[in-house]
Amino acid sequence: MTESILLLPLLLIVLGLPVVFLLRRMGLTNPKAGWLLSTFPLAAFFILLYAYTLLPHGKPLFFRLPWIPSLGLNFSLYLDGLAALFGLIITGIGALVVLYTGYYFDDAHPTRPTSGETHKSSLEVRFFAYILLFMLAMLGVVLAGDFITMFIFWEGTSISSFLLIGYKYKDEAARKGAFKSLFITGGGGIALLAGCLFVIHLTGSADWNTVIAGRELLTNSPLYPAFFTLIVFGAFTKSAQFPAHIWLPEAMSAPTPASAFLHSATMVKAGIYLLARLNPALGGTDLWFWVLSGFGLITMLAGAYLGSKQNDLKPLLAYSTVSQLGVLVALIAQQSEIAFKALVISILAHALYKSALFMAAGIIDHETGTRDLRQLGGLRKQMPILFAITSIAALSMAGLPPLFGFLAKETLLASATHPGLPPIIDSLFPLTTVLAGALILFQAAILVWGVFLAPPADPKHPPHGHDPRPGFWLPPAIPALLSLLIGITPIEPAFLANFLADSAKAAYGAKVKVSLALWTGINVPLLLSIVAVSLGAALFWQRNRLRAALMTFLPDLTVNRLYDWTLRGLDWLAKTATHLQGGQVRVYLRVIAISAVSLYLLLGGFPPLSLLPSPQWNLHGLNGLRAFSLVIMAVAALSTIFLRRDLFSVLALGVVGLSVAVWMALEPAPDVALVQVVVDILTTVILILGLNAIPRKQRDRANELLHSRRGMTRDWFVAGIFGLAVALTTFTALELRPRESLVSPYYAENAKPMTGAKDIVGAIVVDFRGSDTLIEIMVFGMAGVAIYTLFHFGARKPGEASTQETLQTLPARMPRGIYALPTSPLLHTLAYVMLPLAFLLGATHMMYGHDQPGDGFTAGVIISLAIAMWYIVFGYQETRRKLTWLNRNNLVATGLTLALLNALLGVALGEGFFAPVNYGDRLSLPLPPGFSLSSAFLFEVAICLTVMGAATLMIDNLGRIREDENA
Amino acid sequence: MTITDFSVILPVTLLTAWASILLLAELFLPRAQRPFLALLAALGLALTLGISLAQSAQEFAPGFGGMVVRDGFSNFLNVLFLLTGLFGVALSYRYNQRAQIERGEYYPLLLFSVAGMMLMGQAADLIVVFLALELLSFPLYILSAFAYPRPQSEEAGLKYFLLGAFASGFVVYGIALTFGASGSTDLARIVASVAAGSANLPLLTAGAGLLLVGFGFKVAAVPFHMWTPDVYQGAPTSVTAFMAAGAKTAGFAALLRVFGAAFPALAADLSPLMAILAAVTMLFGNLIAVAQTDMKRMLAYSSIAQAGYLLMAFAPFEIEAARTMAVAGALFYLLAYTLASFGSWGVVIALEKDLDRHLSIGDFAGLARRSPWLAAAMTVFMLSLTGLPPTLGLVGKIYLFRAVIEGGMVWLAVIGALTSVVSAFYYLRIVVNMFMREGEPAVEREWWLEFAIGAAAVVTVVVSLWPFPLFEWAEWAVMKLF
Repeated sequence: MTESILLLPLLLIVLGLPVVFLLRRMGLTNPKAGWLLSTFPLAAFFILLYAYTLLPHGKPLFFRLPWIPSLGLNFSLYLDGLAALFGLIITGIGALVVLYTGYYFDDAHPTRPTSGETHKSSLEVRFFAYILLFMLAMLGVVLAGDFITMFIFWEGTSISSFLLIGYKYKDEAARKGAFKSLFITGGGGIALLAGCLFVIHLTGSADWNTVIAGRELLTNSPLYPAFFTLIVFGAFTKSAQFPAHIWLPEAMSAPTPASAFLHSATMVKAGIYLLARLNPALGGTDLWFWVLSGFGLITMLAGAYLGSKQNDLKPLLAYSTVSQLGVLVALIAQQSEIAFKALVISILAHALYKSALFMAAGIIDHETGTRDLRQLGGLRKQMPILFAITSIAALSMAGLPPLFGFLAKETLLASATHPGLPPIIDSLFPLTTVLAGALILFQAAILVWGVFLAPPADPKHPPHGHDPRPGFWLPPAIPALLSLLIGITPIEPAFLANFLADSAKAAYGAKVKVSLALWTGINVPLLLSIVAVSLGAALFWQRNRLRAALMTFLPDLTVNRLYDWTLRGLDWLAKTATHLQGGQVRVYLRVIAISAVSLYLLLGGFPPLSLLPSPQWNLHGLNGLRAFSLVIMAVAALSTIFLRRDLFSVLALGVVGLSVAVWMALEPAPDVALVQVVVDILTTVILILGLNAIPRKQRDRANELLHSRRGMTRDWFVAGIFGLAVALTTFTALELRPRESLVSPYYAENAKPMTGAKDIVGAIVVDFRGSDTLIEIMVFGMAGVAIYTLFHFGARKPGEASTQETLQTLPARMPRGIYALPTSPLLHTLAYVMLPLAFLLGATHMMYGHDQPGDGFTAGVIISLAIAMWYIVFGYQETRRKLTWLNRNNLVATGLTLALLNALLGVALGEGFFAPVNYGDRLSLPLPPGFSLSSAFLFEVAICLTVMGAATLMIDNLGRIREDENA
Repeated sequence: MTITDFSVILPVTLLTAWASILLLAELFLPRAQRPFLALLAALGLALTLGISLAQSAQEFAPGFGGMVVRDGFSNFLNVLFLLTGLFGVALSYRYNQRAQIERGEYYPLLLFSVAGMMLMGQAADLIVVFLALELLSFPLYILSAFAYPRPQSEEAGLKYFLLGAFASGFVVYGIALTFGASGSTDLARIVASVAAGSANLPLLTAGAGLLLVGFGFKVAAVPFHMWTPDVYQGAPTSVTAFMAAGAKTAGFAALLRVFGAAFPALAADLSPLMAILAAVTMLFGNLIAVAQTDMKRMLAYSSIAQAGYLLMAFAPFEIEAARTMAVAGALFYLLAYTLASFGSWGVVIALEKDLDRHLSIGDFAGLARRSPWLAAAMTVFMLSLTGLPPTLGLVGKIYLFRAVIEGGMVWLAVIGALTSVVSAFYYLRIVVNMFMREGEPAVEREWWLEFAIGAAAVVTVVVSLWPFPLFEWAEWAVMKLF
């Protein structure tokens, strides 16, 4: 299990996290904590180094834990030269940065408000934790063995760097910068995910070996441009390529240790790592070459140019990083051995000098209180050690011999002048490189000059500072010295050369020879280098004029405005779309109706045209009654839109329903017609009562609003379209449906033998689909409870008790009906007679429902209608006073319980749940002929009770409201 | 009716009976003892959950002549719905007392709704699907209007009811057409009649389209989403939390069952349509969510956008292999969504000290300092909704995107990815507010609420790291569906 050693570096850093919190308990100072915590990445560094030596010749280590095997996804780690290069940079620089952090925060915040806290330690727990978290994520990115694992750590770096950048959260700029970086890099990450899903789809696996082996498949796939774009987008946003580079300078609001780590060696290199990793799989195509070259060169130049405009040390360094990232991307585009040699050397060289410079900038800031070139100067004598460190690093950045940076620039120029380059690029590449090189040299020079050598910009207030403690300058000193040592060592460090060659091989896909000799003879690259250095020197000579010109005339080239516009545009779009959402149900209905119709059209919902010429106009069944009801129906439907009074519209709707019932009765479908009639009437009554509950003024106002000319036209239009669509559908349905139903014959045959019912509809309702009915009455009961809940509480004014007792103590008075209109005694008598009649009718419905039209549901509705009549005729209070026996809640509960009990009784009797049982026969009761006391009957009773309870609940609660007001 | 019949609907029956008993118990319970009802409701849900889990090992069984079934799919969903119910109770418990809407009907209605959702998962007949739809919706209409003296709540209830009834009309009409086309409402027989060639395909397609409108309303897919923000904002927050998770899952249960099992024959017609709906929903939901400053409305639009991602599962239906993966992915995503949605609404409840004031995004400022664990949990939910690691949302998105790519709908996957980027904007804005802005948010401390939020967050993270048991379950759940 040598490969499980790959887990160790990650685990070590995870282990560091709880230690941070332990240290806080121990009350350690920041520098001590820094020393202690830096051992974790340091140990990880050595483990990685050891693991690298374990690599069987040329073969990577691969470690795998199954994660989602069914999707072929694993948690896997992978170590080869490329991963090792990045991993060692991350852990090595990481260890230095952690050490540096301790000193950086030593007196940075000497007086934090800690009065209220139990721990008075000023240990920057949060920062240490965040930076370790970031290190973990970053190490995970480079050690990941497959796309998905890498993506997960990738987003981890976005989130943890967000925390680091926004560390000084009280600062508005820090918050903005943090969000910008998260939005750009995190968003790019999601694009990357989509891209890698494509790759997985094509190769069948996410791990690097398979992906690289699937090169032919990938580059020849028609999907190549799609996933190439997505992946490259992700990599470019992370690696701050123009124009996504805008997050990087703003991320400088992070504390300097974070900048030194994130923006020199790690975070921004993640995109480079990804591109290098994928080069063997996706590279070598024209698209790859041109996109990467193009963006790389533009970024190289834009970064170098923008860096020259900066006065603040950190943005200056950030822009030169952007430029360097452009270099790296452009190098990956080239498919030549020398380019990949240049790539690995540049990565290492840049990581060394840039981290040193960032840390040095932090020390300058820490000691003098400013990073502004316009306030610094003359610090050479005060800070000799730092001067030395900075100078070495800056020389490396400028690409001057005998430093490592020189080697990087030489190889870069060598690949820029590589004979295999296609036209255009073969002139652009060297040109850009020379220009950018000159500008970078210029920046390195003004950095050293402006801080250490030049006389203080403001002689009256020269900056004060002195060299810090050794622990503080040691972290930048080490990488700076390394830059020097690698350059001047007389014996070529073979291990390093082989290691870099191995890394380059992994990225290039073939063997790469790396030598670290500075002097390769007089050749084109050297000449170009001399040109670049002279140009840079000339620029430096004219620095004052140049800087003035840069500051005043030349454009900022910032695409921040683009970013802002994008966000603002998004906002605008969103707000516009929100306007649709005005809260009017009418609009919502319109949208639903129109969308439904268009959906229908999209589906090709037109009837086949062939049907139209020869519809079977089956006119012989159209007798007078049918024609009459048809006309009535159409007129009533039209008038629902016409009529200006809501009450009339409701009545018109009722008429439509009744006309439908006429058709049903003539069909003949008496059961359905019966239900349609009673339900239609009940609905109309409930609607009228409901309308009554709304104050007159509001109703008038609503009617007025609804019937504006424009509103009417629109309603007409929408209703017309919708009606047309429905009519077409119905027409198609009628023409195309199978003539013979599949289920009817079954019911017709089995109704009598299985359930003992002559009425098939009755049998279906209570036997065949009894459980449906059970659920249905539940829903109905719930509707009753709903209205009760809403209106019962709605109508009760605070402190008012309107119980049965108070109602009964009210004096009898002249009853007033609905709308508080007086009603005639004739109606009263009628109401008195109707109620017992309705009960009788309901009872017969339930008793003979099995064999005749009618059932428990109709029975319940009929009785409820009779009760509704009381409410209309006598008004709410009077009815409540008279019908004291009517307890609505209990009716619903009793009905439901009875239904369930009845169903369960079958189980108890061994017949099964909901099985038909004839209790009359079992107990041999004397019953009238045609009536059987069966489970079906009990079920009908249950239905009737529930329906009655629910319906009267509705009527009762709707009826009371206005009367309370009127009274 | 046989013992199998009974055992198939045992969980639903038990829950319904329990709800009815609860309704009665409420009458006899003195006012001071009302909180006890929540406990009883939770007990009923837990009991049913136990039974459902015990049944999960059992094989496919049809009941009532194939009108309802018990299979892996329904089992998975039953468990999900019961968890939804338990979450709903936990979130409501103290909130209802605070909002003074602790009325006896609340918990029975919630239980009835859960029963409706479960029936939806088990329905194998269009009539039962419709009944389940009504059974689950009705209590929700009522619950939305539960906070009586607040007009927004009443408006929400009325709006939801009116539009819901309209949408139900589409479902009924769709069922009628489907019946007309195939001669049956039984899903298996519809498939059989299509296979035998006796079904009328244009009519069946029209029916399917109408059903799509109705279910699209339930899951809040654009353009049938208009009710969502108003209702989510107006309804009591505890109800919204329950509705956002439960009703959407139930809608998708119906869609998956009906469109997955019964209409694959129509895939050629329906797939592009579903893909368009998914794309429009993702674009619209995410875009509008960006502009919201009111927290509830933002979450409402986010839930619309999430429906879009779920709808992607229906796009690759033409390809057999992708279909199984898509449905399993949808189930998985539903779980991830349920957890994240409940969690984030739970945090909203915790912050909603003043019920009359709208909770804006700015009110999250300073939460990390005030109550770090709550902020951490909220971060988990936001990451999960965006689809970032280490959360279930990421796994769900990987699953769905892969299914879509497998199904050959590249453009849809790209839109999904791009809109996810847009969604990062508004989800992460909340994280920024919590961690980086100064503020003094008023936080309610409620044990049950915190427990529920914590559990959702922990599960979201832990299961994402160790997802195979759940994966196997989701895939097993789908096996029997086709």
